[in-house]
Amino acid sequence: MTFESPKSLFLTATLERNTWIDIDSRGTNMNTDRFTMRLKMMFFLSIVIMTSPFAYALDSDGDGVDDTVDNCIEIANAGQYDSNGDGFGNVCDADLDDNGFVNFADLSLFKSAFGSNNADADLDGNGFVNFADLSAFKLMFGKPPGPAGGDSSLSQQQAARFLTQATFGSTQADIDHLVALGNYEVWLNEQIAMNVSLQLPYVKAKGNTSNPTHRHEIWWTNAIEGKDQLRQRVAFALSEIFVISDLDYSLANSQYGVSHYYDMLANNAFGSYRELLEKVTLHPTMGIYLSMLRNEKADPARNVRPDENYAREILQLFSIGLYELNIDGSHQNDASGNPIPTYTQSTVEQFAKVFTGWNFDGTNEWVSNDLTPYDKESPLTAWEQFHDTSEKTLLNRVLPAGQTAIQDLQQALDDIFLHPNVGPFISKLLIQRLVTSNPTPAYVARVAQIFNNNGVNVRGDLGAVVTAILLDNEARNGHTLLPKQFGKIKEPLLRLTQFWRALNASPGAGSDNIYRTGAMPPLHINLILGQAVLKSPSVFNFFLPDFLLFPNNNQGSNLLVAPELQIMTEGNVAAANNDFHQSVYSYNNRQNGNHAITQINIDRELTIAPDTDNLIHHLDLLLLSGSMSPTMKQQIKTHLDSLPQNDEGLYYKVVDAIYMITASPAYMIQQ
Amino acid sequence: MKNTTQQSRRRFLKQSTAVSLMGGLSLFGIDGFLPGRQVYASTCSSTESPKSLVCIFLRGGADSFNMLVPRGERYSEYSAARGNLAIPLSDLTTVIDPQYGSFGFNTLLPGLHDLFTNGNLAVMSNAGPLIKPLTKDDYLTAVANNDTGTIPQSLFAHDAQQKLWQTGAGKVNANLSFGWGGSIAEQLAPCNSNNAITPGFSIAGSNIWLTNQNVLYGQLSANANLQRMYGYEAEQATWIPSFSRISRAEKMNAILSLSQSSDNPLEQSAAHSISRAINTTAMLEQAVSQHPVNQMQYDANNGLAKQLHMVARLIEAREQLEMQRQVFFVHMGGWDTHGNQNGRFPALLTELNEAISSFQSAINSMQLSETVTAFTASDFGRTLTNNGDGTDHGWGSHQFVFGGAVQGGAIYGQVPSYLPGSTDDSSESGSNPAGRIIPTTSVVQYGATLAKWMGLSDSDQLTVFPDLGNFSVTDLGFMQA
Repeated sequence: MTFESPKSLFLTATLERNTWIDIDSRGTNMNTDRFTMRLKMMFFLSIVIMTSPFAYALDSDGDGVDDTVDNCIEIANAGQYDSNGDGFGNVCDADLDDNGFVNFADLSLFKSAFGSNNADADLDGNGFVNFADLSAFKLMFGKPPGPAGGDSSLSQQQAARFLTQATFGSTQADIDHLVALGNYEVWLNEQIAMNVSLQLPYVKAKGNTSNPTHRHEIWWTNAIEGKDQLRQRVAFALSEIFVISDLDYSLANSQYGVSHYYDMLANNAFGSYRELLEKVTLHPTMGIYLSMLRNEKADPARNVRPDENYAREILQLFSIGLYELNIDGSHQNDASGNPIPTYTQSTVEQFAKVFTGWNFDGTNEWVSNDLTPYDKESPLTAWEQFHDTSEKTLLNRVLPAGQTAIQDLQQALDDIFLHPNVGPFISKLLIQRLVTSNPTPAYVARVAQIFNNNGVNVRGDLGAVVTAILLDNEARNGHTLLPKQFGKIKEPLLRLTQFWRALNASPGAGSDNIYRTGAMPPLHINLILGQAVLKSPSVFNFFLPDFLLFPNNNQGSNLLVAPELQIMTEGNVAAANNDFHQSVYSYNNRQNGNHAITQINIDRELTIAPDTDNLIHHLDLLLLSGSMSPTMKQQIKTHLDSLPQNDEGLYYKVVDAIYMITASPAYMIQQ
Repeated sequence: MKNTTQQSRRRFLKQSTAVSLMGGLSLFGIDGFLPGRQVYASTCSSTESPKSLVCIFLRGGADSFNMLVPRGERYSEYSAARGNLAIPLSDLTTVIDPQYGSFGFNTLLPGLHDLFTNGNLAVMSNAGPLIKPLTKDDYLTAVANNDTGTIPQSLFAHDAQQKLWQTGAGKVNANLSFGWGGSIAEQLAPCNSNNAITPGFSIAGSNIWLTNQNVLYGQLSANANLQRMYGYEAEQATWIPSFSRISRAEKMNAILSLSQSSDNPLEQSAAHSISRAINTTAMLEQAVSQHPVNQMQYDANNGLAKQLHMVARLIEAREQLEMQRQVFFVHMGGWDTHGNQNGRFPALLTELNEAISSFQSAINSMQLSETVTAFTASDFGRTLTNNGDGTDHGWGSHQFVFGGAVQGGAIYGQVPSYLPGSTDDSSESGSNPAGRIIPTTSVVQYGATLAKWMGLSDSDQLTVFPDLGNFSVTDLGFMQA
């Protein structure tokens, strides 16, 4: 049987293009090229499956099985072959790892089964896994499995939910675009290919390196206006894992360097974790922040030892964490039930020796009190005379004595990179920043497996990890599958970006062309939101990943965490609430003459407003991804319908609706 | 005087009623304070003076070995260990401890020196997390055998050691451990005749120290005034026309109530954050604005002093708020001096000194010094030896307790050897010992002594500090009986 439709040809072409982009952007492994070639060859083979043109209304694929009982509604399979008995026929079930989505992990499984008689990968049920199955697989790539497997349409609500996780907030235009694409994977690859919005050019154009104002301004501009939304959102997540902060006075005077660091995170957001780790390690701002800069080898005569700061934090916070993990992120415990430490104080001391002998580029001074004049953009360079050349016993290898600083450093980073903890540790942190505070262990494991192997034998491919996080069935359907634990408290900064993006905000006018609230300029927004980019109180970020949810009801021993809750103090909640109030009521136009303040645009809402239900529906989609409860809708509607039936009443209808939603608990969470 | 108090009480209660009626929000239960879940052995009589306890947490691991320094024959040991980070004798004051002899405060801490010599400041020497008393041999044997049962978990890691200091536990297990400040507050809450107000306040954001089974502590900013919540409170933001404002507040509070009983615990917690903000700001705005404590003078950039200023205002307001017991948490960052310590340390000490001095002066001027005790705590002490221009993570540290009820002018606990590689140093014997000092007094002993002053019974102290039974001394004696 063969099947022919324009849709299938479109998907084939799309997948082919995406795969090119994906793999090329991840070329970190010597084997990649070989796999790329093989995949290209495979994808160019076209197989045509035919369907009957004479389908009954209730038998869409015309295979003689009614849609109501057909285990593949849109793909003919008269035999109803279903090797794993999950109710989805093989011909529409390429979800080989049963995670609810067909992605690179399934491709990897499929590849390993290619040429065998693996029953699950044998999609057409002919007894072996061959090119015909590959062709069928391609049709299902990037989608959930199931009887309606050929249908790729997305609802506006689905698009809005996805964009809330993957961007700084939905706009109507972005929702429409994603719905038109009809496929998350296509959108992801479009985003991954976008040009990077940078900070440094703006910061250099606007001021000197000791003025921290401008890097906050450009962060807001890129978050609100940047086309590369996914990259900017992931860069922000990375900035909360690989933390530097200019609250440290040396970095306050290194704004070019701090901006360059953020740009480095953005540039590497979809690249190799291993490369990123090296760029982070050798970045002069990190060198200053965690004092690896000018760290010197031991001098026992003076009771001097190597500085342990970077050695400890790279292990605890940037890579493997304190305790041995299973692939699903859970702790491995010893016989008495205690978690097993990943390293000891002695390990830290050995890594401290590795990170000796590094200085700013282009200087002949090893010691100086003022760090201002040095190059904060070029990687640190080795000064061998200060490097500890003794043998070093690391996590899983011993570095021999007598190596150079760069040899030691690269081998030590390899040692860290290859530790089995890195996959689950980094994957879980990224899941928590993008999707949900309490991922199921299975979700963490699925993403960690992609970290370990992106499907073409590359470890640490962050683009594949981000894709896996966002395409996972738990990310897409967690709100219905796990309603009592799925989601997260929105980071306060993201409440504001989402608000401004949803309501087409424009920055202040003229020379005040920046995004700022009435109460605070970007530089000081942390005073009411509890966070501002690269301005956390310590390398432990604004909040800890294990901060407990409160109240923690009905969870038994399975207590939930809510990291962002840590900065939602009463003082911050009250001040932010009042600042939002001012944005909605006082700064939705420039009639009052204050040109410096960012204004939202409510023209569109004013035209919708006469129809109360429509207004609520519209704002529900933009601000709550269409998740507003019927009871909340009813409360808002009752209020809006009580307002005077005149122009002033219509105006308050709009601003009250916006404010009541953005001030609600529902807006403070992302599901 | 009595009249004034009653008037303000009436005014306050009236205000409370208004808040509790507004939108049907309860001041009790989860977002107010829920007393009496459990019968406590601790009691407090209504004739007793109110008491307030203040934790000053020095985030990052303060190098307290350079705040208080031995003089005399120990100085050369100290000086050799610290190398170029040693404080020269010329930069030390002189104080005499009855037991340990001559010491000096860093001259950048003149306020602490004066409090010590006036008998209002005690030094807690070499304290830190311990499950039970531990010798160097015990420690090294446990490390060698991977015995995780007897040594505090994840030593030398910032977040873990902050948790151990703030919980008094030996294990980092957020699911089971609460803070000892919060537990003290919880046990003494029934003393407060106004049980609508939480007895615990942080001016430093979230922390473990103030948590207890219900996480009942308020979190205020150090700003001069509290903002009451627009939108949810119908009488706020009065420039909004009443046709919008009144109905809006009613519906917003109805939505808030719906979310508080949502099936989704995240939405519930967001709702509780909002209702706590409404309640806390409504309850305290008036009291705070009526007690400016203008006599507290400090540099406007002193972040710690700003926080302590808010504490002083709430302490002055405690009778008006009908609070017999208060517990506060403030903090100061920047102490993780791995690099350029000699460059960074002076500014840190100057800020700490000014904050402590100005706070204690304000408390003295209110004539409340006998009933207010403040103390310091920090992640850990630092290595005695240095890494070229800074120090790394250690274990035991010196801390300071001050106030009119402190038996000051003395060093409590044991002063360690300053010789790297000594039996006080946890480092394995080798060519280059770091000088990470094993504590000789546990956090639980330090905390229990303060808890006892606040009025916790022996049995309640054991509830708060389960490991206290492992130590023979439970009252270190630095507080007046």
